[in-house]
Amino acid sequence: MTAMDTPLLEASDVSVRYRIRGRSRRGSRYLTALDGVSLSWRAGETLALVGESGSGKSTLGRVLLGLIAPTGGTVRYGTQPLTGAVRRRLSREVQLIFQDPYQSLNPRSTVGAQVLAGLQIHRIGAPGVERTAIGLAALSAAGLNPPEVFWHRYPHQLSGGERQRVVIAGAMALGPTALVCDEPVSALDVSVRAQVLNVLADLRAERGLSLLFITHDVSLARQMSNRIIVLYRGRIVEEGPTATVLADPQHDYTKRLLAAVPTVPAR
Amino acid sequence: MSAVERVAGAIPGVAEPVGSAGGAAAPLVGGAADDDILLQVSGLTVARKDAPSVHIVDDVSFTLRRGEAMGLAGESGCGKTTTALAVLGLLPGGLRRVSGELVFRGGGRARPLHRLGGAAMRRIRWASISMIFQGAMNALDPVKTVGSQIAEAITLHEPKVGRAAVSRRVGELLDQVGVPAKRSVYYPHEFSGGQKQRIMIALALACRPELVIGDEPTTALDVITQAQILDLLGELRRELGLSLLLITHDLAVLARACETIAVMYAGQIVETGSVDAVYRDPQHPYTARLLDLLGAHDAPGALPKPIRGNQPRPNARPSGCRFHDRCTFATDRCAAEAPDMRNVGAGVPPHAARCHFAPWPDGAVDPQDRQASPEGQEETP
Repeated sequence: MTAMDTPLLEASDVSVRYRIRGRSRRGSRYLTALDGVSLSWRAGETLALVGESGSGKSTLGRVLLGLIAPTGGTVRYGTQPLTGAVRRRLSREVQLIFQDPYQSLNPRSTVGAQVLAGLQIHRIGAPGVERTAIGLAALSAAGLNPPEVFWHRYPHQLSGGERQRVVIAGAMALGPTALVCDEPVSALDVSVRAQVLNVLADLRAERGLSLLFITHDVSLARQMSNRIIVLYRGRIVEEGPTATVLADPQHDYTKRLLAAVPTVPAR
Repeated sequence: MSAVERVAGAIPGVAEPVGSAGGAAAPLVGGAADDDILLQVSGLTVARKDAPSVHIVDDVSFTLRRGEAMGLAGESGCGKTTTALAVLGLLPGGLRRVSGELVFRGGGRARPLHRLGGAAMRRIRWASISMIFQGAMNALDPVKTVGSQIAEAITLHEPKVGRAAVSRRVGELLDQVGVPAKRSVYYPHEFSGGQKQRIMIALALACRPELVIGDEPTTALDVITQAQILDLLGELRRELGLSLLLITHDLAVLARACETIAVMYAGQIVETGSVDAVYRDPQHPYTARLLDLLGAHDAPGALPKPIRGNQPRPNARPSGCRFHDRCTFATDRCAAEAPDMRNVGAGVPPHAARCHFAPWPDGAVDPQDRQASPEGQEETP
């Protein structure tokens, strides 16, 4: 059994229903965000969950991380269901990166303090010099050099790309095996976007990190993923190797999604 | 209709001389071209009031023709939004236009926007030049129905129009953008993001403007909605003969919506021309890298290397060519001497680039550090 065959996170027949405002004749009204979704994210794999707003892709990401309990179905981390100790281990080993680095950083504390906070929560390293060293190394690995300079800065003193790299550094300091990236670059400019994606690609190459991209951006999936899963209205409508799905989409929705992506004329 | 044909429609002589008053009396040379121009921006420079030497927008000139859709492209902080706000006379308090002329030839006469006072500018704004703002979903008033917001724009500019006529026009406008007219009594929160953006477009069209400025009008939308909105803008443009100035960082969106492009970097236009010419054969290394970064035609899994460094802040721009410290082709001359715009091709507008080495030999400006493996990322300072 190779590393690629080991499931990192697995969802079987997962459904999520949200109760929404208003009542129907039969009682409360529900919105089905996910409807019988099964997927397996294998160790070492870069997977892309693609779909439009409201397709359920972010909900699925949160269910996989145990942040939302599914209304039906089960999620397993490795081979174990998500309970108590397993969830705690998951919360350290699989980190989440959000779209908007402006919102995921505390404006009132320094970069260093925020990186240290994660280490304290997970009790990684000895307080003081050791934790600081881990944090500085993480900043450097995320391309924030020299790290000592960034350590004392506040978020407002950083550019958008630097902020997103601080978020990545904060996640990487905890020594995760995997990152779930929810629209990691859609708030960033084109050239900055490439910098952040290259940082992620380097970390993947150096540390064998597994990556899961949650995105509506087909070109991001194209640049970064090995396998693609297309979600539409809470169901998986298509999945397969990225090159295959993009070159020869089977489902109507995938075709529509690909046709909607604006492209530049070939040179 | 291809982009080329659409551009051809805007070329003087090809275009029909609509409404050229007194036909025979119109001058034969130059007159047609002038009639054809809707907005002429020459040497626009915008500076910070507290630091007049810091030019946010630096000597920007461009021409927008009637019916043309032009994209103003560039990354955050390049001055593209400031340029648009200067056209509308809506510069934020800390900024001031220090030089440059803005001539708008709407409504059958040429008006120097840069000399107009507040009241005159207010009459032009929305009636002749309107704007679709970035994050339009937040630009609508949450406590008023969408219909009343559109009606308000109409009555402000055309106080003589009766109530029945206004509400008829609100219905027509909503219809035009694909929102059922009966939903005019709904509040903004009752619409989806894409629908709100359609309503913003209806609002921008309320007073039948000749020029619509769109500031990242589709950036907050997902791909499918974005495609619908871009198609809608294209249809409305053809139907109403509107001109569009589209401000965006997204070169792919721009290619879908515009015929001509001006790329901005650090306050200056660095390349301009038809979308076809610029995208096929970029002549400024910055444009070439931006197009490369889209990676649209790469094999899956290929990740282009980033441009090293960051765009300089307005108060810390390098000497010579402003892109030289990030450019892989830079020489000593680039650091010492600021390049002018150089024409590199014919067309309307002519293809021009602000680079000492333009025109480049075939393919020479194409990035050579493109690679299929994600390894070997450059350190950014």
